[in-house]
Amino acid sequence: MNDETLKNELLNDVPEAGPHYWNRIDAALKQIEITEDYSSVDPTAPIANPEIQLDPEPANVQAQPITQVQPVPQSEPLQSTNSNVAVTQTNNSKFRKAMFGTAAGFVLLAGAAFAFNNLSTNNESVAISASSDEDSAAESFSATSNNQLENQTLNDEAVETGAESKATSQVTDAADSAADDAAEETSEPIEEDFNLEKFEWFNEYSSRKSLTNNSEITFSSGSTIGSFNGVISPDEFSVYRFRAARDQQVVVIFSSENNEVFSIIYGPDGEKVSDSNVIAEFLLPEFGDYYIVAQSEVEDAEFEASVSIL
Amino acid sequence: MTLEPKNDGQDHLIGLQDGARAGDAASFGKLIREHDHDLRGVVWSVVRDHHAVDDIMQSSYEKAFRSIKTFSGTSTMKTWLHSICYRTALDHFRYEGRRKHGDLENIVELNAFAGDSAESAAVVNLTLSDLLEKTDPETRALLMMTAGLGFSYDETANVTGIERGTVASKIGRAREKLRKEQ
Repeated sequence: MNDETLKNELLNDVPEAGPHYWNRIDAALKQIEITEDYSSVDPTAPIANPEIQLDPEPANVQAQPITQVQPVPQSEPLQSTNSNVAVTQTNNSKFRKAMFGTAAGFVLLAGAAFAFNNLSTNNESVAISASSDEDSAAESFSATSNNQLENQTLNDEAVETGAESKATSQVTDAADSAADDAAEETSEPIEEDFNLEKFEWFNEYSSRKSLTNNSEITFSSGSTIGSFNGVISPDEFSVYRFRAARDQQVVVIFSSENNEVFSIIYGPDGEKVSDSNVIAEFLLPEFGDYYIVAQSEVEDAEFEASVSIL
Repeated sequence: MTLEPKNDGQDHLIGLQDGARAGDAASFGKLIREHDHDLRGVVWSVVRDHHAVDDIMQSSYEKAFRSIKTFSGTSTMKTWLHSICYRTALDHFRYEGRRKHGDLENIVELNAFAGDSAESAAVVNLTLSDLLEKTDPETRALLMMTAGLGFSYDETANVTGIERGTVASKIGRAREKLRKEQ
């Protein structure tokens, strides 16, 4: 193996750029404003521990693996079969709320069991006196749980129920009630509703054009760019969905010959967040699913698109 | 401020660098076109994923342009851009690539299963491409920069942040291994 062989082998395999590569890059660069704020950031500096940079529950990107477009059947609204997965993937705050709710439920159940044990031993009534020495431990257990709930301000109902029970010193009732609430909180799956027909804009498009694509854009771990491509005609529209958190800056770029493919973007509430354009940059007003609707002015227009979350 | 490219002596780059530093996307766009082929080579050498290369390039260029003010001129623009692309690709690989790429030991193990005996694995004729595919991405990038793009060890060290001596020894070992395995 001589140097020339190695050089050829190394360079021969390097892939050519895609057809809209420079369009995409030029469009993305035009969106960037150079400010002095970036002067403290050194992009060449090594990341000391890149693993730490990836939040396991990313606040920004709902990081799902790479840059691929997964078809979502239009006729059948997607629902996760696993409520835990749905909770973790759809809404971090709801996930935490549910988990704390569950934890609170367990704590209160433990308190109830403790209290019940005392009751059994002492043959006392279900209503436990707060002044009873033997019951103080159970009550303090319950009170601690209440404090935890209040401090974390997670489950208003559980807190309210806990507060009521504290007032009446019905420790077991409080535990049961809070546990019920917690169970209700966790057993009820957070449904992913991909039914586009609930949106006015979708019905409006459907009345005029045929839907050719309904896909989800996912992002690779550690990546904030998702790209996809397709072919579209004037009598068609395609929908691409991505999920992101509030206050994130998003740039959506459609590259096609003569800019004949453009997009309109709708937010989780069905309101338009970006008007028709080949480049759209906007701040996400809320957490949720955003829908990119692609349309074309010419027959069989090929396009490449990218979604960058900054 | 005018930044002289230190080594390449290409005067026309000076104006583009100045324009880019002033926030002119068009100048920066022209500038990166000058280096795109080599930069793409470095990114490819790390990730070896056709679908990911364009995205990583775009991400790197956006990162570079946003940070253009941090380019102090102590290194050349070429080195600076290569460094950004190399790190972006490596970060990408750390999260996505490991499950796809092994190392040279792995392929020999695989061949031991495929062949009649352990000895047969040793005599399997692996192509250079196979061997490169199975080389770890950092070493592959070092090989790309030095053997493929003609970087000096010093330049490679600047781009990768690896000590010059370590660069030299890694490349030496990798070449030796490629020679033996092929």
